[in-house]
Amino acid sequence: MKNHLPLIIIAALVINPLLGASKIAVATKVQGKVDFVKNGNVKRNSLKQGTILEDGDKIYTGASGFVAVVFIDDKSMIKIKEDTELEITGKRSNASISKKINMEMGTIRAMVSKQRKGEFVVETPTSVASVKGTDFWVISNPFTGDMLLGLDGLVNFTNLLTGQSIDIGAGFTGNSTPDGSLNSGETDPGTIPEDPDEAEGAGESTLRITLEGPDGTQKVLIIHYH
Amino acid sequence: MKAIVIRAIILVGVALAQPGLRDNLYHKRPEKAIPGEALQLTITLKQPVPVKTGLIYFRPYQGGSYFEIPMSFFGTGWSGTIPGDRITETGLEYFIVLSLSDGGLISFPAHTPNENPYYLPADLRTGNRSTFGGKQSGKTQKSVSENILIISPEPESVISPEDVVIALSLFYAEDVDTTDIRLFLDQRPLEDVFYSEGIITSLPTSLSGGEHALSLRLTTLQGLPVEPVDWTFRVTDEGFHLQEAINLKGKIGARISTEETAGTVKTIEELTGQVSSGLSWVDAKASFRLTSRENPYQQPFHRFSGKVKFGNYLTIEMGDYNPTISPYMVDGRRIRGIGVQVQFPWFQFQVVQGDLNRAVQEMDKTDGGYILRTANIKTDSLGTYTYPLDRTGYTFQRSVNMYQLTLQTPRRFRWKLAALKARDDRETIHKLLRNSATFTVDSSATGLTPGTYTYGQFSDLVSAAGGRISFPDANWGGGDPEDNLVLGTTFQGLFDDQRLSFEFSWNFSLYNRNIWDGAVSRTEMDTTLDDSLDGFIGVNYDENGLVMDGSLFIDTSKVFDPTFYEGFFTINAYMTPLLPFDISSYGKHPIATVVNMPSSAFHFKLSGTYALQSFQVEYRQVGPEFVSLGNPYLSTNIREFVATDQMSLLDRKLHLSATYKFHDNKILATTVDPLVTHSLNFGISISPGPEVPSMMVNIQSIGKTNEKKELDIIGDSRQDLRENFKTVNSLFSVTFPFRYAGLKQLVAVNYSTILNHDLLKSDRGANYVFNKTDSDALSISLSSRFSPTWRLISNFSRTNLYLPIMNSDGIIIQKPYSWTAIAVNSQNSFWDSRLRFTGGLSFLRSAGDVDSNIYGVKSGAEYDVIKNLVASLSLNIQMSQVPAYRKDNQDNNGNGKTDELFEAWSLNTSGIFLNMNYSF
Repeated sequence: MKNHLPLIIIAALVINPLLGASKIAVATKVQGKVDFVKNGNVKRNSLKQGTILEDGDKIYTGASGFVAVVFIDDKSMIKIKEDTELEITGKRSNASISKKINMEMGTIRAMVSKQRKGEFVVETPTSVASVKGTDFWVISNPFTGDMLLGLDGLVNFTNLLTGQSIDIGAGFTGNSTPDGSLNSGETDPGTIPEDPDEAEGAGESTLRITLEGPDGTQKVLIIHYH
Repeated sequence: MKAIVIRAIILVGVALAQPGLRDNLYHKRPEKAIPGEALQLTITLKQPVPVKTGLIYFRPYQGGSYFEIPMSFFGTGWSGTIPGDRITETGLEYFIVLSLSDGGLISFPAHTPNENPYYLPADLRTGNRSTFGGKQSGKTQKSVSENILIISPEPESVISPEDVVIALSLFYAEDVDTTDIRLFLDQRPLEDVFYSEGIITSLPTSLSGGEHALSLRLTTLQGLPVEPVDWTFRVTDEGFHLQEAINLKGKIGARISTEETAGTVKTIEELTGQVSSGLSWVDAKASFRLTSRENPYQQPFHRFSGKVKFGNYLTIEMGDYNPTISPYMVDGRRIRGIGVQVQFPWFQFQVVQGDLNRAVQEMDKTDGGYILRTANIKTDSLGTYTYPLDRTGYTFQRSVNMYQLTLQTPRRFRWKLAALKARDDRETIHKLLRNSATFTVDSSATGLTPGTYTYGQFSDLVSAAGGRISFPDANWGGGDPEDNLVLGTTFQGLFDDQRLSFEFSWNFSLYNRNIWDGAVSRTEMDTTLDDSLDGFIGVNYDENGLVMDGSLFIDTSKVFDPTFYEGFFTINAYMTPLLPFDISSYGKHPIATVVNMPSSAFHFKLSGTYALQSFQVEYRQVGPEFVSLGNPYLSTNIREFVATDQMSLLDRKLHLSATYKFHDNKILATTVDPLVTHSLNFGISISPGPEVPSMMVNIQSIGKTNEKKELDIIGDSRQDLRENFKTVNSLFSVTFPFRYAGLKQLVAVNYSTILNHDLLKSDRGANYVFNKTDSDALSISLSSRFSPTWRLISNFSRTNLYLPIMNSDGIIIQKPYSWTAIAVNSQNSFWDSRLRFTGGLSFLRSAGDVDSNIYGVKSGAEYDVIKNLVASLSLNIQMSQVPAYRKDNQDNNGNGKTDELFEAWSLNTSGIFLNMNYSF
């Protein structure tokens, strides 16, 4: 055994990095107070734009926090709003990343690309939402339960207490409570959270102003705004 | 060529001295330079200018020293060519200087050209990659395709300068040399580029507003170039903000429908609308429904509501809305009023004020407002009749106030304290109604002519008959005004990283079923529990005037005055409870006495979610005297214990569940023959995922007993009122999706049975009828899609009931009744789905004492008239057929004919629905 000790140490040094958490996503937008804890650590650090996230990293958004996270295999995106706590997990294989969000509380929007293998899963203390590819919001409160608002596609929404499942389509909202009730109904537009990303970036508009000089020459001033 | 930095600097200022001549020269800057390809630059003479020589000064982007190339005259201008091997991937900077015959100089650009040269980005898509100063290969290498994902910024996206993060994924790029990553922003190489496990990131700083181009250059491990990744995005100008956009959207709709059911025609016209608008910090929305069903004789059918939400911190709701406090107070019932909710992470406060009912004076029918109590007509010694008139058909305005305070730590504890106050306002109902309100005087009203009268007509009638009308101002028979106060508290805790939760809620109600006369006075209290007005409550005297044993001796001068508290709650003899708990049993069983207060409702619940399984244990009790006018449908007088466990296996595709439930109504020790229910439920469901078959099996066993052991003696006979039976409910369900002709199809099959077993069967008498009905039901549904726009749904179902009856021979048999239904519905769309058709046929056959059939047809169309404007029309008709009517020798339809051709047929229901909706 003694003779093998250097070999074991070298092997450990080589293998240890390989056993580290795999990198699965990038934080492409960060606003307000957003912290994260690297997998295996306890210390919170401020999350910066461009940070590469690993399997098991935890994200905590403050009262005005917002972060957009994009997975590197298929560009599935989660937008995490204020007062949210969650863990991002993903098992890398050659074909894809098997993604799961363990959400303690808060509000997220999941814009899930068609999954090559398995399903994209959002799990809260109350419910599980699993999809192949779609767009939906999850608002989770550990006391009152979860609200899932379908924006596109179909989400399989399961209450963890009863195992009961329903499919939530676009324009419908599912409610899952800690006491096991699970139901769905048409979405009240007022309950759809505001997407800070869309509010800022979407829908660029163009304003064209025609100016005419003394000689009749016309010039067009074009203003791009959003 | 040689470096001429110093000479170029001398040009500054000299060029500025030639503004007039410069206007006669024109230089068109090329848009891009192609690496490896020669670039010609020209100066065109618009007017003759005495140019003696021309020089082009150039260098690679930020390349330091300039190189010069002489220009030559070509008739209408001057030109020079920069060799291709001098043009690199980094782009090119240049300026031009023309020497005039008078010694002057003209430059392009005009001012300090050596410091502000023109910049030409390199066109990397078409150019030969070459390193400045390197060797030109003279041939183009074939590039290799790799799957590279642009993570950020999205191509063509518009983002703020502070949000620019460049990220690309090489997750699917298999053969890339990650030591040779070149990322260009606006054709200029980025220096701070990071690579880690297939992710390339860079954070450029100080990006100006406008369009920017990104380009990624890679090579394979074999040194071959990878197809470049080029994309553009736009950065907004910092500090340039138009007025914040107001997001306004909504819809308005109109509906007209006419339905006929069993000869009754109902026509409804409705106008609905909703609008919402918002900024980033405030959202507002409003909605309304105006309907022809609105009338003063019922609760309102119109709906008006408004909601304003200031971020996540303040919400104000107005009009008709459905607040929720708790199931023991109000749980989604409509109120009309206002609600305010203040919400912070540690503190929340909710106030609700409004009306549960509006005042309704009468019903729209004869005897719907006044009623003559003929049984109470009295006559005095002079023979004068007194006719007691009463009010009926009214509903008091019921106001409600609710308050809830919540204190919480976001992830651990929550404590709620809530109160509900509801009261009927007896002043809202008028004694006298509109003149047209009528009531019946029948023949039992001695001395009056029977008929239908208004109040005025009746007064005249009674006067003419020499009688009197007795019509009290209060205490009418149509219902008593009520008062209700509910207090409650709830504690919730989350433990073990939120996997385990505990909840305890306790609520107590005070209810008064009659507040016509208001609160009791101290004097009235004196005689509430005894008949003696002696200044003491609960003192009884014997025939000798001596105090009897057990008297309470409560001094009325020392008890509180109920009239003082009438604003909170009306205390009188009609309140429940008079005493919150049984004082006599408190001494022996204090805890049980308090817990089992008949006016209390509580539950405690423990639930957990661990790895593959979840469980919940709950005990709930609602006392028989617990009343909340905010939730009048709450079941009372129940004790319930529920334990459930659910296990998920195979990556949550397989679910196993088991539930035990105990339920009885034995809260009070005085309850006779309590009904006790035990139920056990097992379930298994398999749902592997979308587009694969799923299955569910559920079996439930319910045992019920009233704990009676002996037969009851009623009159002269003995009756068997014992209950002890078991019910077994079984449900099997399978859904089977499949593809046919490349299109999705789905079959769903459900089968269920309910079987009852009398556990006392062997002890029963021969004539005992066990009156529980067995049943079974089968349904099969096929959803077929024949094309992307044509879908057909076919349903078959059959339900059988087996009613236990005694036949003419005195034998107990199970008589079968069955319903068989077949329906086919089709959905089709045309014109790029602008026109959508639905239609269907249905058939229902009922077999039992009298067999009958119902045939139905329905059809509808929906059309997008213009963008956001949708019109729809639907029709349905159902005809009923009773075949036996053709042969029964009776006139069943009342047309004077017997067993004619269409006697078996009648209109069951019909309807026309027209809708118009516009969204904006």
